Amino acid sequence: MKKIVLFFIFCLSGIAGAAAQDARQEIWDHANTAYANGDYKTAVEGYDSIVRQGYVSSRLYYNLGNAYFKDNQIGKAILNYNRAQRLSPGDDDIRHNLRVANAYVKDRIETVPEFFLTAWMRSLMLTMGSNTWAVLSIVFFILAFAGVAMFLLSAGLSYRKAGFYGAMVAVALFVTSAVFSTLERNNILDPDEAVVMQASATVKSSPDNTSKDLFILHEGTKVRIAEETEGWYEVTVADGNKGWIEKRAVERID
Amino acid sequence: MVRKTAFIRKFWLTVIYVLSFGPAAAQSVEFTVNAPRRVQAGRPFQIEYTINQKPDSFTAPPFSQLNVIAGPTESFGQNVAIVNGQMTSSVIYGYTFYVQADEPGNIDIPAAVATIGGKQHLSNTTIIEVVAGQAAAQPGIQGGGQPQGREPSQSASVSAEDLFLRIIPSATDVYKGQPIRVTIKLYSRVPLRGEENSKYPVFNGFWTQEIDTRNAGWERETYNGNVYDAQVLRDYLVFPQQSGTLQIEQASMTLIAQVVTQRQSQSLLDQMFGGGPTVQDVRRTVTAGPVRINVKELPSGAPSSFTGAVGKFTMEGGIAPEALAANSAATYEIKINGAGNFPLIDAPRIELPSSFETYSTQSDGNYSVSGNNLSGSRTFSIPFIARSEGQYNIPAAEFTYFDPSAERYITLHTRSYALEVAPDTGGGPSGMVTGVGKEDLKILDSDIRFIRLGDPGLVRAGSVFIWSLGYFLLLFAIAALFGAVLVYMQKRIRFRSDTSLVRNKRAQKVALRRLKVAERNMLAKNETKFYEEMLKALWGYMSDKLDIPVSSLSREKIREGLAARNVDGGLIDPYVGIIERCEFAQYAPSANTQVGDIYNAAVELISEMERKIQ
Repeated sequence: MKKIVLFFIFCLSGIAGAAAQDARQEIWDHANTAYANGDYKTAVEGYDSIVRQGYVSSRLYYNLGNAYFKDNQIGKAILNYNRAQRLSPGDDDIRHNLRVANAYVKDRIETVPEFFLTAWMRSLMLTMGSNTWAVLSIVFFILAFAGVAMFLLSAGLSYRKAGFYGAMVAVALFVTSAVFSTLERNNILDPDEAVVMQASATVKSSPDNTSKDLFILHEGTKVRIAEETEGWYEVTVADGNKGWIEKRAVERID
Repeated sequence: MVRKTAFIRKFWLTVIYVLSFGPAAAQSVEFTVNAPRRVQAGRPFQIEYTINQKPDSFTAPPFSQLNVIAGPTESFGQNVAIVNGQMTSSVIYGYTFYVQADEPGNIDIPAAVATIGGKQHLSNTTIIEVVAGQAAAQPGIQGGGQPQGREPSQSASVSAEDLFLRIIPSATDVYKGQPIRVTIKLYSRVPLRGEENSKYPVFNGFWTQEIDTRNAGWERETYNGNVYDAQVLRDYLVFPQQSGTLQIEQASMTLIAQVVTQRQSQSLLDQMFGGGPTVQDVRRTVTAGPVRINVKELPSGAPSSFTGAVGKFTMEGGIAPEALAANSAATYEIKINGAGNFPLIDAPRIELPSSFETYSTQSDGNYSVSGNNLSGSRTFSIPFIARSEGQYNIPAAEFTYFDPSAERYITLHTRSYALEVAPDTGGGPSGMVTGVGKEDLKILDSDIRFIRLGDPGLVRAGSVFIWSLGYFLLLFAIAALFGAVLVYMQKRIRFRSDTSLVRNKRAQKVALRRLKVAERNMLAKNETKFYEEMLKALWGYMSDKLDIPVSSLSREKIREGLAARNVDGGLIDPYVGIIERCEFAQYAPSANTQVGDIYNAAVELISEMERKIQ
């Protein structure tokens, strides 16, 4: 009897889930139509309600960013483009729109040049999202085993050699892709970057309103969060400047 | 002023006069002022007081509205006449002031006071009219209306009617861009010796073209009823560049006129022979202008192809040569004929096909001043290279000008026509051009790209595949599958891992170790043992190399296996032969068998095999 009840509950929840998914699809379509008609506020509301339901995707964030941009909310637009980029780093449209939106940001910050190898690795990592790297790691895992099996089972010496080295390479690739996936996962789950939301926000020398003003950031500027205390983030700007900013002035890219 | 001495004839008349009426009575005091009636503001002139008796003191009136530049300059003149031994003399004392009036208007010159013999005498008064500018000033000293010797003055001067400058615009009410000819002309009735401090106007707000006047000479010209020698000093064609009231500034210059005057002298000798006329330089500053020009804004509603051409034009255009091959250069020429502001004309608009490589437009003007305008032609040539063959439509060039006489815009078109570009006979870009200039994608404006439609691909927030339960399960499943495969294939794997690769590598070592044992037996003359070890070495080596257990190895299998590994027969046969000899000798030992030969041959063959079998 109990089992039957459980089964029913399971079925009902499945139906309810499917219905909810249809509802989300409907909101999505509505918001897209509103965007196409130039009603950006409605579009923002629609996309945002899906996000508040706890569902995300790079497309959703991308569309939300577009709607905010058209609604002249540059900070929010950049935040959502960044979120979209987190989920699908290689996407050309997101990169383009983010670049356009960044042109509207008042702060022009010279980026500290990265060591070229780091930059290469980062750009390699950002060609694919965390999940794609995870799937790739599985593929390499299988290939590694296949290589080992080939080494153990094949008769010909050249096959055995190919199997042996193939397995080594596959293991290395497995580790790399798993590391990339993990790094991107950490960015998604525990983001250390944030976007300034206020039209202008003062960066202080210590987490205290009476402390010295170091510099002023404007809406849309991306910062890296280094430390966190009650109500304050210690942030680093791309040019290396560091200071404390109130939490409510920024929003994390999660 | 010194009283003028009489000519000799007059002298004798005086003598007769004196003789007939007796000695002259003592002269009464005559105290007069000599001043010009009209002067020009800003120009110095003289005021002179004359007394015919020596004054004890002279007090000039206050020249309240005049600036005294110099003076008083005292002068003294004496006239002596001897008649019949009786001498009469008259004297004149003069006080001269050089003054200047600033403002136009009438100036009263009050009486001066002179004390003669304790008695005060007042001079007469006069009114001087000060006029502005050039107008009707009558500079120069005029006589005070006194009867005594009013004769040509020493300070000879030139009147404004004798010498003046004019700025003559051809029109004073024009449209913007419509040319005006401005002539600066000097009129003179006196001979001139030279000029100084010439200042010609600056044409602010005009585009100016100066016309050569070097060949302009003096011409007789009637102006205001008088005949003058006139000369064009400067001639300009000016094009107003802005609307409103524009001003052509003043032109001025100081001219040195030559004036004939009588010389005067106190010398008796000169009186006797008469002072001849002398030529005197008189400096005179003449000004003209400023001249106001009213410039009307062009009427609104100009076509977009209007770029400022004002006048009357015609246009023709075409391509030379008419037929062309790809990659050869050609020129589109537009010729504008007519009269108007040629220097300010922009090239007419033409949109050549985009696949034509166009170069910068060159313009060539062939126009000259005629009347109050520029007339002639201006040619614009647009060089281009048609890069690929085909049929092209050369659109019409459009040119708009404003006709001030008709007061409207007129748009001209060249004819549009089809141009046939033949294939390039040279088979490639001509040597002149090194490559096709690629055009950058023109970014008109940057905007974000459009939203994504279709499936949103929603996932639960925070769901990441890596290190998730599913990921671990998948890894575990793969590992488990692999483990199962390993267990299933265990036997084969063990055989592979133990034998084939390792044994293959160790084959020679094992064989050589056995051969060493065989060698020891050979030295110990233990032949049976020797052959036994030899066979172990030979069979074992092949077993390792061919990966076949010794138990299932046969001479045929050795042959097949070696042949399969591409070992040639020249090596297989001796190897198998040695095995046979050893087997034979093992069971039928014979004294004449060369033990050493077999051993050496075996060592040689194995090392040879090691090289051949990979």
